[in-house]
Amino acid sequence: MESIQDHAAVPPKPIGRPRSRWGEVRKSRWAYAFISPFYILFAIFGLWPMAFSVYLSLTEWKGVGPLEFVGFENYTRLVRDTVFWQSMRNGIILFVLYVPLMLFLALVLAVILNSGRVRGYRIFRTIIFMPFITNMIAAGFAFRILFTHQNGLINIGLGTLGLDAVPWLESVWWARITLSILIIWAWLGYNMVIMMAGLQTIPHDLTEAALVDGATPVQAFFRITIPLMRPVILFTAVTSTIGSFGLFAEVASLTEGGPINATLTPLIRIYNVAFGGLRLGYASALAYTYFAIIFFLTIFQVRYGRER
Amino acid sequence: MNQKLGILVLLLLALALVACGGETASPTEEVAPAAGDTPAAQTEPVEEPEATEGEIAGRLLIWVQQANQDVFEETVLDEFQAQYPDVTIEWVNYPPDEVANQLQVAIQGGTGAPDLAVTEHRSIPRLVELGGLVDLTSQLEPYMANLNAAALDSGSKDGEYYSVPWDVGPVMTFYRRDIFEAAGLASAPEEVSELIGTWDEFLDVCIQIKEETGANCFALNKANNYGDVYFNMLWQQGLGFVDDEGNIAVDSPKHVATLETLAQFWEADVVSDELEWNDGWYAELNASLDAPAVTPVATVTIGSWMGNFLEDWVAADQAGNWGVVPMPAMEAGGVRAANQGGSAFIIPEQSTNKEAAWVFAEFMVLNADNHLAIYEYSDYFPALETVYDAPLFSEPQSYFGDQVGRETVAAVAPQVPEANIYVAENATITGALQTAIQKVGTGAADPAAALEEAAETARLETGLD
Repeated sequence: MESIQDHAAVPPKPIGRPRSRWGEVRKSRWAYAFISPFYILFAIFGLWPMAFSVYLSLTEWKGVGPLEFVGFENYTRLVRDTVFWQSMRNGIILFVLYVPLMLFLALVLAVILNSGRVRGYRIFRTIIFMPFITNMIAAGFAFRILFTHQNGLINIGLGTLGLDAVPWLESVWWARITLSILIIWAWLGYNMVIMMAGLQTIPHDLTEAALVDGATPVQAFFRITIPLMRPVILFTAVTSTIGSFGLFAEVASLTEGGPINATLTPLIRIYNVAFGGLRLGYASALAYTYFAIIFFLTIFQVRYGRER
Repeated sequence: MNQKLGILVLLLLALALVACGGETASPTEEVAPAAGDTPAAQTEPVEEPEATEGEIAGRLLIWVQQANQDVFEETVLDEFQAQYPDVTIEWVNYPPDEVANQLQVAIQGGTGAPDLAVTEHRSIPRLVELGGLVDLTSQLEPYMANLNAAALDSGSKDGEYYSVPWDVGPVMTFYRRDIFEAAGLASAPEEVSELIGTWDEFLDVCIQIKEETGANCFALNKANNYGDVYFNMLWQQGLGFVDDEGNIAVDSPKHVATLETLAQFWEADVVSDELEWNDGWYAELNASLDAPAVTPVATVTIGSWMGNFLEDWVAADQAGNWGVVPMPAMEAGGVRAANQGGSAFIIPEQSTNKEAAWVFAEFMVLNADNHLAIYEYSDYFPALETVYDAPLFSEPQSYFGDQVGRETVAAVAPQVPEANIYVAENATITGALQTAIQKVGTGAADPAAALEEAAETARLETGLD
């Protein structure tokens, strides 16, 4: 304490060039001090558990008692874990089912609301964003009631139109589609807002000039807006990809991973193994495998998205 | 000057941090039964009245679901307090499954457990496995002969007993008298019991009901099946998820035969596709035979606690139309009893008032008079068999068409065999089996293949052989 005050009283001495890195740090020590709380907390609750679970993935552990070192046994085991690979496959299927459609809708809505031709666009923006701040558990249960096979409101509606009831939650593919509907409903607004932020950075004159030159609005959308929005679309695509493997509350409240594990996501699987099965070592191995796969998928996506 | 200001802000920040982190150690924490605050209250047993040797006193922190707290408060809690005035009870409520989940975290974390908890038999072996519960064998000894054997078994490991059984869920077949009559079948309990003596006979009854009335026999969902009917069928045969050596047993020939028996009901197309605990399921249990919109079901085979649910809220419209008989056996003369659900008291090792915790559990459910009062109020079927002698058990119940239903359940409860279903790995194996049943239900696999795959998955996930 005293020493700090002593230093405070004396202005820091000029240090000769080239300035050492430590000198830079010293110079900005107050800035570092002020941003340190985040890093301290992150180190305790983020970095340490991440590092610890590397070691954990090489052990068997129930959460209490001694850790039993088993080497790479957990990793060789997970190669044969059909349920885990099914959950990864589910992640890919869900990605295909909802990400392209959701991002396209988000972009179209953002363009429409951003065009200045919609009266009261703020209201629409709020309405579309609203589901994002709705509690997912509550929304999931509401969807579950709406999509019930018999006497669900959706099927009753289809019935009055003369259509057959759809097994929304009772068949492998329909359950995935129903889950996708819930996800799009919940996340469309979030992605739309990000798209709108991106659109603000595109000068209006570009599209206007194209329109004056005789382009149709649809042409302008595909030839001007989408190319310029590439970085924003890439961002939303990457976060949505990570999101579709990491779905949790949506699945837990709507389908519980069923039917026949068709909507089980890797994250739910890892949670079940860790806390239902008391196998924290194996769950850590699953988590790191999951992390590695998502990491490379993201790198691939970013690479591919930047090129062309 | 700026730097001094900086120091001040930094100090404040540090203080805030310490305050956040140190909240749990705050000695000013009062009796606050909010869920999040319990670890705080737990680690700092302040102002606890001095407990002298042999005296039951001090703070007693109990984790229960709200409904169970109500049961105690509405029945004999006042008498407990009159007898033990120095015990200060604090309640923390969690949703049903959460008591065990939170307790698991507390045991794994080494801190934050209550003095006493009430949770389902199903989740207790997992906690025993973690080594976090007090061994109650010697205290239970005098009561053991009168306690439901299967319930005791669920809370035991290696001959030691860790739970004080409160209630059990003897599996019963509830049936609709009016639908049986409309199908041209007998409807008196004794006759129906005879009629559905085995699952094969039950299938014939189901076919007749479907043909004559159009009603479904019971709910057996295909794609999202929870597996409860199948688990009850396993339990009645004493078949477990693991065998006595602790190896995964779910693909044994008997397990396969059991699933084949169940699958016959799908093949015969006599069951509804409703999933338990959903609106459609409630609706079909409460539907009239001539209801226009909903096809009723004629039976439900489930833990006896369902009788209370039917009467109170699921099927209140059908008062007088329901009856209750023992579940069908797998083969003629076989066991017609299984268990589904039920709960027990457990005392965590971390408990700071184990004496009062035991005394509370003993007072509530090991004393026949108190337990009877609790049963009368709650309808949780007692694991303490001496309660069955009470006059209440020979009273006719108007909801069940004046049948003496409690007597029927009381006759079944002691017959429940021990089965290794409520084991530490229950949650994991249940998941694997649900998938297998769903595959059979949707025609994606036959029982043998589906169970073989489930066994494979279960072995991989549990690490058992």
